[in-house]
Amino acid sequence: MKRLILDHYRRWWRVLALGAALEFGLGFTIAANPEIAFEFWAFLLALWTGATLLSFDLKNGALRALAPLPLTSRQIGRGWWLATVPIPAMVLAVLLFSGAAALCHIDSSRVFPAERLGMASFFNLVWLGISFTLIFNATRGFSGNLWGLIGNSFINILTITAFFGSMAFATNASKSPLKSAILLGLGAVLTAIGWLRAEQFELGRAGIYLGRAGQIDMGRPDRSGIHLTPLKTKTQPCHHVAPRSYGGIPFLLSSTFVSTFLNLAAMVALMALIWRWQDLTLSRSPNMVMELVPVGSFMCGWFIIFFRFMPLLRQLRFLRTLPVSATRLAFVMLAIVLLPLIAVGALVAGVAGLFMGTVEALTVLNSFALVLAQAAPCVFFAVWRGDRKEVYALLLLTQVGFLLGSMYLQMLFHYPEHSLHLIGPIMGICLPSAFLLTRRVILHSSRAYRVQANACGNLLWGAGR
Amino acid sequence: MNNAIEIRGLVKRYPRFQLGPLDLTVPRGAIYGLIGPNGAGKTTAIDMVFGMGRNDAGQIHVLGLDHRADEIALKQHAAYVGSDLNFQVWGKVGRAIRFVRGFYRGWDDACCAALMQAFHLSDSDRIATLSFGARTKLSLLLALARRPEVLILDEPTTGLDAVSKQQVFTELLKAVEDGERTVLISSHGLSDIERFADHVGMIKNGKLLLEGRMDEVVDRFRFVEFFSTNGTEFQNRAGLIILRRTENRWHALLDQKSDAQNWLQTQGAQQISLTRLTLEDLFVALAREEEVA
Repeated sequence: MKRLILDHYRRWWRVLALGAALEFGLGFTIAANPEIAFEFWAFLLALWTGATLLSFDLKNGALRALAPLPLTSRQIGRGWWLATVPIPAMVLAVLLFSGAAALCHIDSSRVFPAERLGMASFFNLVWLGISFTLIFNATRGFSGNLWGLIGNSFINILTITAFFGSMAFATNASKSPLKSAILLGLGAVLTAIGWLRAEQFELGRAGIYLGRAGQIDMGRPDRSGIHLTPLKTKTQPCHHVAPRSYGGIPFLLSSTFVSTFLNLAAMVALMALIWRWQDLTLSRSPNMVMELVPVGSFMCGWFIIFFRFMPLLRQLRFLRTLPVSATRLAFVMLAIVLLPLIAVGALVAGVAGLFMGTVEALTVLNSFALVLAQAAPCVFFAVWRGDRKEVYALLLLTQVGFLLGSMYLQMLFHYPEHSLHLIGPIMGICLPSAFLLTRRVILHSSRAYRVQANACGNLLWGAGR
Repeated sequence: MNNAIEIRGLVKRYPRFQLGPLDLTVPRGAIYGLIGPNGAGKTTAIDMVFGMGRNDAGQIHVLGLDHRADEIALKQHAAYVGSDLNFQVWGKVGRAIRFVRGFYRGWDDACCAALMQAFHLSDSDRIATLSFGARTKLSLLLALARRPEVLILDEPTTGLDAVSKQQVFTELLKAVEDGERTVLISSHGLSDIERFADHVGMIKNGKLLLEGRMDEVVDRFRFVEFFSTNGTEFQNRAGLIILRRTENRWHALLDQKSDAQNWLQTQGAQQISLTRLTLEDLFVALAREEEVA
């Protein structure tokens, strides 16, 4: 188990070292600017030092490689839990406090924000625990019995709610201590569930990470001994009805649009409910619109790129063999990401316009326009480099860079919020250039199409010649 | 136009590898086996046909259509099958069929239904739960049901069991039985290629080593065993590849179209005996050439 933990750190040390340095810097910055809320960045750092890294390993077939090693399933689960939840939580806490202590040591007039740092460390632990539960819950499989399916789905819904809730409440936890305590309690319960999942981990049930969605039948010893029996042939009836409705690119766009739009709409509704529960009702203060809407639109962009577009990118090789021009394919790649964002932006702006007024609706539209501008280059990067670890880092940097860059420009030009004067030119540059670059990559790059099956039978990028 | 695929002077450069200059000709109606060691450039050559990366030089024509200028028309007539294709985003087999069917006016629903029966696939099957072999069959189904004139398969039988492999080749043979369809198949299964293909091309380090009708290619080369008592040190030369030596006894690969056999006799080789070889023997001998040299 110790080797498993050390192996995890050895393979991810660059990411973890970067995260550690940033966490130290975050502690320093919190002490330097006590009036600014930095908890969102703490959330991002916790996300990228915990089970997210494990999810890459699982996707790349780590479980298949570990299965034949002399380790029990329980040891694997426990080792991963320790490596991605308590150990990083402790290290992050130490770094956060050290960063703040460093500033206070340099400038003795500063007040050491112990309470705030302590709260941030608690939230870090909860985020790490929740993300482990969310990722590891998938190892239980979803095609077992009905109760298992319901239980797993319920845990997933709780996990997502706790994720968004704790992210929202972390910023001003002291203002609503009871609700924050409830969310932290829920996070603690989910962390404990993650531990239990790790303790009860069964390799045979982790079909999704072993190459099958269902449970793998590991066989049972036959008490009566071994008998030679004829192999059962597959007698499954083959059912096929020739589809009468449209297919092709319109089918791809419509099916991805509907599912992505529904997911985004549900996410926005969940965030709105959490903010409502937090008493951050948008109508109470126009400033609240400016604070909350960018976070919501950013999360939409995040979700669509990481959870919708990246999995679809693995179909690019197949799509390129179909009679579709590179221009059309580049358009499709962008449309898959941009259309649902436009639709959700329009929906939220419509709701804001109806209940709050035109100004707030425009704020929403501007904010979503900025997300469109940042999503377009993300599409290009992903198509250019494929589904690799470094691409995830590049996408993250692009999204965070856009957020910080737009805030900087906002301050520079003294705009109270993201205005069309600022976002219009950014969109004008980003969307056409992303389209042209994506088209060029589709035409010229070989890397974009290199896929190979991993040990799980899933597809990885970067095959040989 | 007698050739289905014509590749002339194809070059693709990578930092550590160069494909070509490659010339390759696949006659119409042929089953052409493209063989070569790992990393030889087979997949790169096939990728170039479908525009997956841009070639640095050379031309590719499929049924007379230029792979760049007539990209869409080419893809209407040519289909690709590979074990590396991923259909999971469509969730179920029926949805993947619906998606692909939308691109082809000549989609054959009856053929699709027959192939589903043959491959034991159903519309409602979840793609994520399909075995590796079943996914390859789905890939083949999606390619065959559109009735392509040219079918290009990249390692389609890798990872398939014997039964699935036979099913795949049965359907392939059915597809080309009218003599109008052409199949280019890249594979490591040399015995399968020897059995099913009528033409073969061998590629190594990005270059085409040999190409021609299967029977001619296999018949052209022989294992040669000879003895040398005069101390001559035989080296590789045109038409002769030395494979191994045990004291005075030499083993080599001999091209019967060259004058290598006469040359051996002039150099004092004795008891020269020639043995027929299989495609696999030929492949191994040619692939090992550099190591031995």
